Amino acid sequence: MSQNPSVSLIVRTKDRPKLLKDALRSIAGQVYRPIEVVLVNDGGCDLDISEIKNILGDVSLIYIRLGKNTGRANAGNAGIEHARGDYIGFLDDDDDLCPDHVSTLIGFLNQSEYKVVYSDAFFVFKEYDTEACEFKGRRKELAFSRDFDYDLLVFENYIPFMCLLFSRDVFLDLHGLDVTLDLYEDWDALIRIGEKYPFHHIKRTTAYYNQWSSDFQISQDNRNQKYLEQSYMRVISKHLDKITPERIRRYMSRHVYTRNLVKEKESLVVNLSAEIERKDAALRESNSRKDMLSSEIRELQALLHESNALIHAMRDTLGWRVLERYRRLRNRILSTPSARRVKDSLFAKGLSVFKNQGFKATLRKANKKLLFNKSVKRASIPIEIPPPPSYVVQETEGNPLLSRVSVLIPTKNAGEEFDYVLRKITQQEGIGEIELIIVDSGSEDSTVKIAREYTDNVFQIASGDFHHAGTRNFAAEKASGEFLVFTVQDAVPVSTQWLFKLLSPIHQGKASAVSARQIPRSDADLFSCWSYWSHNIKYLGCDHDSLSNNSLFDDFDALDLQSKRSLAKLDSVSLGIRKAVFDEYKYISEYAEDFDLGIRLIHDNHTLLFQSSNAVIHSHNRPALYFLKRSYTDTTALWNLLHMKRRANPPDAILEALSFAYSGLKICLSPLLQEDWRMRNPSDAVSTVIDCLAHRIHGIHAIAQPPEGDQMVDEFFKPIPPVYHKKMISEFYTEVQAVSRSFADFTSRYSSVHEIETDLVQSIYKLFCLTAGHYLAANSVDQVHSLQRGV
Amino acid sequence: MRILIGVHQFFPRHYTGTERYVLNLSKQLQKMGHYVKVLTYAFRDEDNFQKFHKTDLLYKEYSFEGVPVIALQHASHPDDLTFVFDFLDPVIYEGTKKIFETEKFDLYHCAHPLRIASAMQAARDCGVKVVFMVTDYFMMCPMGIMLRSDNTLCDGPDEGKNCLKYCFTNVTRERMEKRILDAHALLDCCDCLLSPSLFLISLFNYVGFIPEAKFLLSRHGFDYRTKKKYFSRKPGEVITFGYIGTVQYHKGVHIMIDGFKKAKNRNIHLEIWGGCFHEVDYQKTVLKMAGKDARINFRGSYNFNTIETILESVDVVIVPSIWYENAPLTISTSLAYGIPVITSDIGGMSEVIKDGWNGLTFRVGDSADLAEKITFLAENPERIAEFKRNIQYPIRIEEEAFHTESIFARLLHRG
Repeated sequence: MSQNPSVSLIVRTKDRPKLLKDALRSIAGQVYRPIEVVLVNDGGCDLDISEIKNILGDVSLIYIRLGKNTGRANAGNAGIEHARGDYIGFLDDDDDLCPDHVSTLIGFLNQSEYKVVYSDAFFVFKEYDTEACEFKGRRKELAFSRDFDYDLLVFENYIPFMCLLFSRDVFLDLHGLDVTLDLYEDWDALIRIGEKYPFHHIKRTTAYYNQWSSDFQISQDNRNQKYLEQSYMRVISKHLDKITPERIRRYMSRHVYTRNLVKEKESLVVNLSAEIERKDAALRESNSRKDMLSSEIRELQALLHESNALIHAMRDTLGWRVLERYRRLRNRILSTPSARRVKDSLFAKGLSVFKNQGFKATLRKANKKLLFNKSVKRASIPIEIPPPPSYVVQETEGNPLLSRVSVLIPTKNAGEEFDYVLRKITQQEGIGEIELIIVDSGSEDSTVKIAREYTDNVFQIASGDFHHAGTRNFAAEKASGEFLVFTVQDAVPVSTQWLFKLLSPIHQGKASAVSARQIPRSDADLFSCWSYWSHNIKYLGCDHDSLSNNSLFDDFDALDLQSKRSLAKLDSVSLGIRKAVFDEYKYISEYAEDFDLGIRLIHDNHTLLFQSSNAVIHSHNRPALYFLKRSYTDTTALWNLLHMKRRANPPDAILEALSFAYSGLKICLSPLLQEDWRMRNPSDAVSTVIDCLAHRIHGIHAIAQPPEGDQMVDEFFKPIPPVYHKKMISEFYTEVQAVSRSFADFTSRYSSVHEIETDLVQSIYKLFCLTAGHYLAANSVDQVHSLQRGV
Repeated sequence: MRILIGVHQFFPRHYTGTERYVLNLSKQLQKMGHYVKVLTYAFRDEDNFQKFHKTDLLYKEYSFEGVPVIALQHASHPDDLTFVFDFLDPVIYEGTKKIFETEKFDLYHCAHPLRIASAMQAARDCGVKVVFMVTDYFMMCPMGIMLRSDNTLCDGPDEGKNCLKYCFTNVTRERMEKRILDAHALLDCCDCLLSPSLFLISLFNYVGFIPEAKFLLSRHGFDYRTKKKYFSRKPGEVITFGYIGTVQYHKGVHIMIDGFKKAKNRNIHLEIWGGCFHEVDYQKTVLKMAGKDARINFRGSYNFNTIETILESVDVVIVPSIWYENAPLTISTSLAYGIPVITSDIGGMSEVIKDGWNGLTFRVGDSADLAEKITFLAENPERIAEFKRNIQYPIRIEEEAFHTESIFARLLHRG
C-alpha cells in the first residue's frame, strides 16, 4: 500500500443544506490528505455545488443525485459504489469530525493488520437559541467508548458509524448495506463485518455526534419509539443465529451490572451533595481558623521583632559590652568554675549550715562533700549556644495541606511491623487530617488489632474476595478525604514529608496523579535489588522526577510497551490522586491495575507525575519459584491488557524445553561452584554461567541425572521430562542471556563472589525462573493452571 | 553515581559508630544501584600491601560484606596520625589523586578525615565533588567530646589556646595551630557539609568554624534489621528506669544516682547496664553513692545483641550525660523500641527528646531537677503511655541513604 493511502468519506444528505455545509467544513479541515467526498443527495432539494466545492477546497468531490428518496441503505450503497479511496468512512450531514479524525484512524490502519478501526465521539446536545436564531451545543458527553466486543455488538449498536474507517476490501465481502432496512442498516453492516474482521478501538475522541432538540433528524420516523423498536427487532431477527445462550448470559450479566452501577451512581450523587455541603462548612471554618492563626502569627512576629530589637539594644549598651569583656576575661583567668569561686561558695554554704544546724552537722556535711569531690566533680553550666542558621531547619515547603487525606491500605497478615508503618503514616507532617482506611482480607495474626488502635475504619472481607482492583475501589468508596493515597501494608515512607510531597503537585494543579519511587529495604537480597534497579532505573528511567501527558507524543496507542510503561508509571505502592478523579476512573484491571489507570488517565489528557525525589521503602525477598509464577501471570495479564499477540505453541512442549534448560543450568553451575568461583568477581562469574548455557549445553542432547538445584524449582520440574526442543531452547537462552547481561552489570558493584555466594547462586535461579515465566506466557495462548496458583 | 566514601579506619579491625555508618550507607547505596567504594587507612600490622604506582604509598584492595575497600598506608610511617589532619600530605594526596583519575568517581564523601585528609584536596583538584559528614567534634576538639580534662564543658578551642591550656599542655603551640589551620582548610574545600544534629551545626557556628559550604542536616539512621521483637510494655505498680551505656564520668551516672536517691518514691527501680571501660575508680565511687538503696541494681556489662531483652524490662530510659552528646545511640535505640527517655537538656539529646512530649529533660548536671522528673513519673505513671504514643520512630538507614543520595544528586545536578 502507498505511503499516503486515499480516503473516501461518504456523506448522505437530504434537505439540510445548512447543516451539510458544517459537516463538509469539518471534512475540509482534516489534517490528512488525500481525501475525497462522495456526496449522495437522497432525493432532497438542489444543492449549490460550486459553493460546496469552495468549502471543500483541495478535497475532491463526487456528487451523486438520486431522483427520489430511496432510503439510507440505498444512498449508502450508491456512495460505496462510487468511492475510489483505499479506505472508506461515513459522515451524516448533521454531524462533524475533529481535524485529526482521519489521520488518527489511518495512522493505525496503515501500520497494522486490522481492516477496521474506530475512535470515540462526543454526544453534543444541541438546542435552538431563539435570540441568535441558531442551534448551539449546550452540553457534550463521551458516547460509549467501549472496546470492540462482538458479543455485545449483536445486541447493541454501540459504535457510532461515523467513528469507523474501513479498508475498501471489507465492502467487497459485505455486498452492500441491506436495503430492506430503513434504519440500523449501519448496525446490521457492523454485525456482518465484525463476524469476519475484528475492529480496533482507539480511545481518542475525534468526532461530534449531534443530538437535536427538534425536527432535524434525517428521518422523522427516528423519533417514533415504536418504529425504533421494530427496526431493532428486525436487525435482531436477521441475526438470530448469532444470539447463542452463552452470549445471552454474558449480555444479561452485563445488564445487571449496569443497572447496579446506575443505582450506585445515584446514591453516590446523594452522598456527594451531602459531602459538598459538609466540605463548604469545613472550608468556611478552616478559613476563619486560618485568618485567626495568621493574625496570631503576625502578632507573634511583631513581638519577636520587638524582642530582638530589645536584645540588640541591650547588647549595644556600654554596660553590657563591659560586662561581656569582664566575663570573657574572668573565664580566661579563672577556669570555669574557678577553684576560688568554688571555695567561696562552699565557705558561704558552710557558714549558713553552721548558723542553722550547728558545728556537728557542718562537719558531717563538709566531710561528705569533700569525699564526693575527690573523684566526682559537678558538671559546669553549659554555654548558651544560639540556634543553627535558619536554612538548616527543614520545613515543609509551601503551605500545609489543610484537606483531609485518606490513606488506603489492603492488608493480610501484615505482621507486627504494621504498627511501625501505621505510626509512620499517621505522623506525616503538613497535612490537615489523615484518615486511615484498612481493608483486611482474612488476616490470622494481629493485623486487625493493630489497625484498630489507629482507626475505626477497618473493614474485613473474606480471603477469597480479595481483588487488586475491587478491594482498592471498595476502600476508596469508604474514604471521605479530598485526596486518596494508595499504599501497601509493608511500604515505609522515607520521611515525615512523604504524604505532603506526594499530594502537593495535585493540590497545586500540576498533576492529576502522583507516584513516588520504591527503594529496597536494607535486608533486600541481591536479586531484589537488581529487579528494582533494572526495572525502575534502567527500564522505566525513574532516576528523576518526570511529568507525562498526552501532549508529549502523537499517538499513545502507537507507542511500544516500554514507552507506555515509562509514561504511565503509576504505582499502587505509593499513589496519590484526588478522590473525585479516582471515582470517575477507578481501578479495573486485576493485574497491573495501576498501569491500566495510568493509561486511561493519559488518554483523557490528565498529567501524571513520577517522583524520584520522594519514596517508600519496599521490597520482598522471594523464593525462585515465585518468580516463575509471577512472571507468567504478569506477562499474561499485561499482554492481554495491551492486546499483544502471543504465539500458539503447546505449553507442554515449552515446559519440556524449560525443564531441559533448567537441568542445563544446574550442570553449568555445579562445576563452577567447586572451582575457583569464589575468587572471581561476580560479574565474570555470571557471564561464565551464561556462556556455558549458550555454547556448551547444545552438545548435550539428553540429561540423565542433573545435580540438585533450588529445592522448590526442582520439585516443580520433577514431573516434567527434560526434552531437547532445539529451537525453543535457543530462543529461551537468548532471552536469558539478555536479562543476565543486565544482572552481570549490576553485580559489578561487588568485588568478589566470596561474600555474596549464596545470594548470587539464588539470584541466577531466580533469573532463570523470571525469564522462563515470561517465555512461557509469550509463547503459548493456553493457560498453565499450575502457574496461576499461589501468587 | 560512582561514589568513594572515605573513613580513617574500617572493618574488620575497627567497628565503632563511624565505621558502622560508612558500612550501612555503602551497602544501601549499592542496593539502590550506585557504584560505591570505601577508602580507608590501615596500619602496618596488616599484610598483603603493595606499592602504589611507584609512589611512597602502600595499598591493598579487599571486600567487606560485599563492599569493595581500598586501604592505604605510608611506606615510611609518619610520626603522628592521630592528632593532626595533615591536610597537605603529599603521599596520600598523590595516591588518592591517581585513584580519582583512574576510577572516575563522581563524588567523594568523607566520613572522617583523619589520616586521609589530603584525599579531599585530591578530589577537589580532579573536579570531583566533596561532601563531608561531620559526625563529631573532632575537627575543633582533639579530645572529641568538648569536655576539658578538668571535667568542665568547653566553649571552643579559641584558636587552640584553650586546648593548650586545659587539655594538651605538652603539645607545642605550632602543632596546635597547624591542626586548627588544617581543620579550617579542610572544611573550606568541601562542596557540602552534613551533620547528624542541629546542635553540631550551631556549635560550629558558635566557635567560629564557619565554612564556605553550607551545612545540611542528615540524621543518622537506625538499623531496624536488629529489631526482631515488638513489645508494648505497660507500666505496672513498680516503674523501672534503665541506664544503658558505659559507667564513665562524662556519661553522668553519678548525677543519675544522686537524683534517683533524692526521689523518695518506693515504686521505682533503677537498672544500670554497662561496664566501666577504664574508669574503675569512678565505678567504685558511684557504687558507693548507690550505697544500700535496694531500688538500684548494677547489672554490669551487656552485649548489644541482648538490647531487646534489656529494653523489654524497662519503662523509661535515663540518659544523664554531662557533655554535649551529639546523636546518642542509646536514645535512638530506646525510641526505636518505643521507650520514652529522660535526658539532660543540652546538645543533640534535647533536640530529639521534647520535654513533656516524648519524654522529659532536666537541667544538665542537676540531680535535684532529675529527682523531680523521676518523682513526677512515679506519681503519674499514665504519662509514660502518653509519651510512648507521641514517640516518633528514628529514621531508618534506608531513609538516611535516600536523603544522602538526594543531596549527592542535587550536587551533581541530577534527579
